[in-house]
Amino acid sequence: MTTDAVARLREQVRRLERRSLPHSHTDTLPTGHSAVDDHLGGGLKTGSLHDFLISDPLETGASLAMLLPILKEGRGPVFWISDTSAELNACGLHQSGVSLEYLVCIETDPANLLSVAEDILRGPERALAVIAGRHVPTLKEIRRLNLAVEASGNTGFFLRSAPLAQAPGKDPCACATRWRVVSHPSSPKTLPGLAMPRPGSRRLSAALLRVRGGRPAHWILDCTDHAPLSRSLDALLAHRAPPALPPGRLPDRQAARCARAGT
Amino acid sequence: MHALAHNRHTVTGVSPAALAAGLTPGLPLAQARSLVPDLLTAEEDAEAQRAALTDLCSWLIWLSPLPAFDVPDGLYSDTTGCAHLYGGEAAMLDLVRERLQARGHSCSVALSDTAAASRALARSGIDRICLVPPGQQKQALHPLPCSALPLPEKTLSSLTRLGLTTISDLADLPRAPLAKRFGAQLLTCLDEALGRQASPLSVFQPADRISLTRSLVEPISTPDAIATVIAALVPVVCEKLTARGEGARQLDFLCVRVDGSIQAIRVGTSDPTADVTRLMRLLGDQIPQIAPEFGIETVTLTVSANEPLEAGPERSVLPDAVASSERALPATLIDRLLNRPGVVSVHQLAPRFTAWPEDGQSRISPDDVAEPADASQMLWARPNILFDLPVRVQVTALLPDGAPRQFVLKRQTHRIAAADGPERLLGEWWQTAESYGAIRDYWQVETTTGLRLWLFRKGDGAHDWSGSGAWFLQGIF
Repeated sequence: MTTDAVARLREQVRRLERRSLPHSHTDTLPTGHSAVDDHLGGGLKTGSLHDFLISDPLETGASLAMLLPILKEGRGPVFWISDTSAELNACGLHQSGVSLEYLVCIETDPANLLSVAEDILRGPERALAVIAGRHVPTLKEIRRLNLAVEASGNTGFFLRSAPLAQAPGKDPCACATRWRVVSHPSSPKTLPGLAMPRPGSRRLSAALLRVRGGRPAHWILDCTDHAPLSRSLDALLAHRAPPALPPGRLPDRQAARCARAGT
Repeated sequence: MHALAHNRHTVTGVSPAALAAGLTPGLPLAQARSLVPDLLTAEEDAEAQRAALTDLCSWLIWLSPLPAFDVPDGLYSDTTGCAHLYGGEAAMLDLVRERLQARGHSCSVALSDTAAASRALARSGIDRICLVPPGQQKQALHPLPCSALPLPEKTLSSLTRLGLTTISDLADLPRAPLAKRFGAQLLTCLDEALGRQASPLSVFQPADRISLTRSLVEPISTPDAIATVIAALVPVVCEKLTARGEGARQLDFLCVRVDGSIQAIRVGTSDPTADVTRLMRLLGDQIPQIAPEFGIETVTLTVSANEPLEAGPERSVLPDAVASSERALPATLIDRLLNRPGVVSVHQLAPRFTAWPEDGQSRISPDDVAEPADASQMLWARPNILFDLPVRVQVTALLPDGAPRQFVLKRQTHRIAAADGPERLLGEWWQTAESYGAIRDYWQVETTTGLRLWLFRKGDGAHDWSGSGAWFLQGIF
């Protein structure tokens, strides 16, 4: 009798903890930054939702620089769901290493954004979903999606605009992680013959605002995913030849010669 | 061949040998027997004739997609735009006769601007080919007898009594007395033959479409009941598809309501399928779209588009393991999304090589992606986010053709810490006159806060013909 009751209690607890689900062994998607991966225990968890806050439309690129390498790691095709037409650029994504064959863009009505996302995340098919919309999902909506991803093992990423002044990101969050990634000044490289220094490798300031069962953190990340110079130096400089200088405007040697003649 | 007409047997069809002996259709059978004592005749079987004509009509689809009947012994085919496939109209007619003769028919073929004129010309003589150039059917029809027109026997005999033997006689007469004397039908026939009036053909649809209709014992209106009906119909349809080795690309589910109106839902699939669960889920997702109101009494499930199961875009025989198992696009999910209400578009991106970056990609339907072109050839970095409409910005630069130093966007000043460029793009001068000589200089810039943006200047900064010199923001890295 007692063992029966204990077994029933155990079963209840297991159901509450949702350990009986087929995808309970959580996999992780490494971010490619060792400090972040160490902090999160291997990377972002699959079978959960991750929230990326974009503080300014111009900062979208920083979140993408963080997100695209993660998507590359994921299993299953990537579905980019948005309620406006996504301004993704095929050439740029190809250069970032996203395989266009496995990227499907979906444009929906604003009202149907989350239901389409749920359909993708719930389905038996493997998929990664990026949900880019202006709508701020409520806790209830996110929990509903959470149940869907827990059941299927798919992973969802919210990519939503949240200006720093209006939404500091401190509100309660049902997603596994919440990020605010903004760009950080890089160390520009000066090359001879160029008027302006070239941008160095990309630097991100990634704030992990919330993480389930962990501490928030903040990192300055260097994205060194590509070689410092994408091609040989002569080719690089040949394409950026400085404009022919008008006569009398300071080529150094000539100025020095003039000075010498003057003395 | 003979048939009973007006209480006497009449010859309706003759063989070439009988034709040579002087027998013609329309002759009384007794007279024919007296002319040729050992005449072999058979009674006409209208049913078998119709079946044979249907057979021939579905065979005629090789010529054009629009064959039609001309009962009892003729066929139309609307060959508009088909002649070039067979090397011209004359060659096409030769081919038609040749193939019909190979099937054992003696025929007469005519081609003209109107169906009625072709009919008259074809029926005016047996075993010949008649090709009327465009606009000349009037001249071609004039010498023909009135009997070439599809007129009732009575009209024909009274025309003969009046001495109107050829179509030219008829065409020259004033119309009003003709209509008064013979009724509107004569003029209609004449107008159709001469092309003054269009005569629609009732095009023959070959019955090869899989369609199931079920009348329900009593009207249903609940989603569960509709789902049950779908679950009963889909396996039968899939079985039929499998037997034919085909898969459905489009299904129409029609529900006839008690009040006689029809509720229709249509689902499409991204590849041919005969999978019961997949089709059932697709149709089941659409049940909320049906408004049963007082109840549905009849349902029809039609496969409106089908394809051979194994065909379609080539798939590699030995796909690499990862692509096949993990990353391949799930066709079932794509179908659900394509058929879902609220979804505006489902597409994939493919790069294109064009001059301006805003035209540099095309949207293609899923699973249509070819191997991407070799983008490693591209010397310069491209942004991940690209605005189709570049945003105008106010830029300060040291030189008119030099690097930007700062810019103003939405009343906010961004100072530029580093810049890479210029990448000069030239307009597609071979396309439009405006882009002749048009130049854009693209700069990849980083602001002091670390934003990476893609700016461009219209023109080279020195010459007015190359562009205005205004600056725009086009992308975000």
